[in-house]
Amino acid sequence: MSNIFTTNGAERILSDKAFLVSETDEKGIIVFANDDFCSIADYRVEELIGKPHNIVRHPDMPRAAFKDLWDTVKTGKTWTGFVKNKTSSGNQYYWVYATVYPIMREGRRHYISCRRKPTADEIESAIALYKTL
Amino acid sequence: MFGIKSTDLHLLEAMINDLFDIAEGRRNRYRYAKSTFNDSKMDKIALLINQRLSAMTEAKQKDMLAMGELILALDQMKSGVFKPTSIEGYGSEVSVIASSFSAFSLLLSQRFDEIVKILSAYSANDFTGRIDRGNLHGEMASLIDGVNKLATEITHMLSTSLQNGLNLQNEASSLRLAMDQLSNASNEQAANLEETAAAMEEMTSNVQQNAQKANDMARMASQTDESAKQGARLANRTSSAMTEIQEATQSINNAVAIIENIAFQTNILSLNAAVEAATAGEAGKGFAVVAQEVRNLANRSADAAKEIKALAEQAASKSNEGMSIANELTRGFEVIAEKIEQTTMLVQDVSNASREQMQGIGQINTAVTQLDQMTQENAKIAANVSETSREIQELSDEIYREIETKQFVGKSEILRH
Repeated sequence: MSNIFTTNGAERILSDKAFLVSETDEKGIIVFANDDFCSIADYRVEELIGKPHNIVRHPDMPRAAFKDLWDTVKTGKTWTGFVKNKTSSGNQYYWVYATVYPIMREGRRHYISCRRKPTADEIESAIALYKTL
Repeated sequence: MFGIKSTDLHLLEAMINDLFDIAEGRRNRYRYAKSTFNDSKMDKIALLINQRLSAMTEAKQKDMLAMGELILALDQMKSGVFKPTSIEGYGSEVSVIASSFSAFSLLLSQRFDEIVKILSAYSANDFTGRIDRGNLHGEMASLIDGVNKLATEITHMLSTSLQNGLNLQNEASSLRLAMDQLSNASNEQAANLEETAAAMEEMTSNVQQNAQKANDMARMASQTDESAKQGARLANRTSSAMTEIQEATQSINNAVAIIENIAFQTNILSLNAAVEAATAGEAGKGFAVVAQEVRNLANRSADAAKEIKALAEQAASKSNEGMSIANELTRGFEVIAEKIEQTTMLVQDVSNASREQMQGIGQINTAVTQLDQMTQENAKIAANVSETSREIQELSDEIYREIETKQFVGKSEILRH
C-alpha cells in the first residue's frame, strides 16, 4: 500500500498506478470504497461505509466546486475535476483527478467516483482556479 | 520545416505531448483546446485533435467506469461479497475483461447462492437438498462435493440418532413400565409385611397367653394331683378302717355266739332248776320263781344276742360295701392320677410347643423385620430407578423431538418401522 502514494510533508502524492474508487447512494453516502482509497485516506472500509462522502472533503475546497459536481451528475452527466481531500486525521491531504459517474444500481441512482493522479501543473491550475471561486 | 513558424511548431509539439500523455494516462486535461495557430491553415489540425480527443476522452471515461466497477467488485470479492456484477466496456481491451468478469461473477454468485441456499436449508434443519456439480471442476467442484458429503454424513448421523432415539424411547418406556410395576409390587409387599407384622404381634400375644395358660394348667394339675393323692390316701385309710370294722364285727359275732351259748346253757340250767324246785315242793317254790326269772333273763340275753348278731351282720355287710367303695375310690384315684400325669405331660408338651413357637415367632419377626427393611430399601431403589427411567424417557423424548424437527433422506422410512 505504501507504493500507492509517496509523502511530501503534509501532502500525499498518488503514484501513477493509484486508482481510487468509491460508490455512494444518491445522497452521497458511501456504500463501498476500494483498498487504494482506504489506504490513502487512512480509513478502514467499514469506517467509510455509511458515511457521507464529504468525510474526506478538505476545507480548502470551495463549495462551488461541489455544487458544480452535484449539478452535473444529477442531470445524468459525468463530472470531472481536481479535488483536494484530507486524510482521516486531517493532518495530511492529497490531490486527485476525479471522474464521477451517475449509474443505476438495482433501479436506484448511485454514483461511482474514480480518482487518478493529477499532474503538478494540473494541481497548480486547480489551486489557482479555486482561489477565484 | 515545411515552412511552419517555430511558435506553431512548439504549440504542435505541446499538443502532441499532451495528447500522448492523456492517451497513456499520465495527464488528465488537454491544455490546448482553445489554442490557435498563427498559420490558420493549421487550425484544421487543432480542430481534428479536439474532435478526436473528445471521442477518446469519452471512450477512456467509459473504460475508467468499467475499471472502477471492476475494482469495486473485485475489492468486494476480496472482502467476501459475491454479487453478480454486469459491467459494460467501450469495445476496448477493458470491455473484454469486463464481459469476462461479468460472466465469471454471475456464475460464481449463482453457485454461491445455490450453496448458501442449501446451507441455510441445512441450518434450518432440512438436510434433504443436494447441489448439482454440473460440469464444474477443481476447487468449486470440491466445495460442492464437500457440502454434499457433509449433508450425507449428517443424514447418516441423524438416521443413527433417530434410530437410537426411537430404540431408547422404547427401552425407556419398557423400563419405566417395569419400574412402575416393581414400585407397586414393593409398596404392596410393604403393606403386606406390615399386616404380617401386625398378625405376628397378635400371634405372639396369643402364644404368650397359651404359655401362661399352660403354666396355670400345670399348676392346677399339680394341685389336682396332690388332691387326688390325698383322696387315695383317705380311701386307703377308709379301706383299712373297714377291715378293722369287719374284724370287730367278727369278734362281736364270736362274742355273741358265746353269749348265745351261755344263754342256751343258762336256759337249760334254769329248766333243770325248775324241775328240781318242783320236786322240792313248797320249799322249792321260791326257788322256782328265781329259776323262772333266770330263764327269762337267758331268753332276753338270747334275743339281745340275736339282735346284736343281726346288727353285726348288717355292719359287716355295710363295711363290705364300704370296702368295695373304698377300693373303687382307690382305683378311681389311680385313674385320676394317671390322667393327671398325662395331662401334666400334655401341658408340658403345650408349654414346650409354646416356647418353640415363641422362638419360631421371634425368628419370623426378625425375618419380617429384615424383609420389611429390604422391601423399604427395594421401594426406595425402585422409586429412584423409576425416577431415573422417567428422566431417561424424557431425555429420549427430547432426543426424538430434536431429531424430529430435522428433515433428511430416509427419515420417513425409519419412522415407519
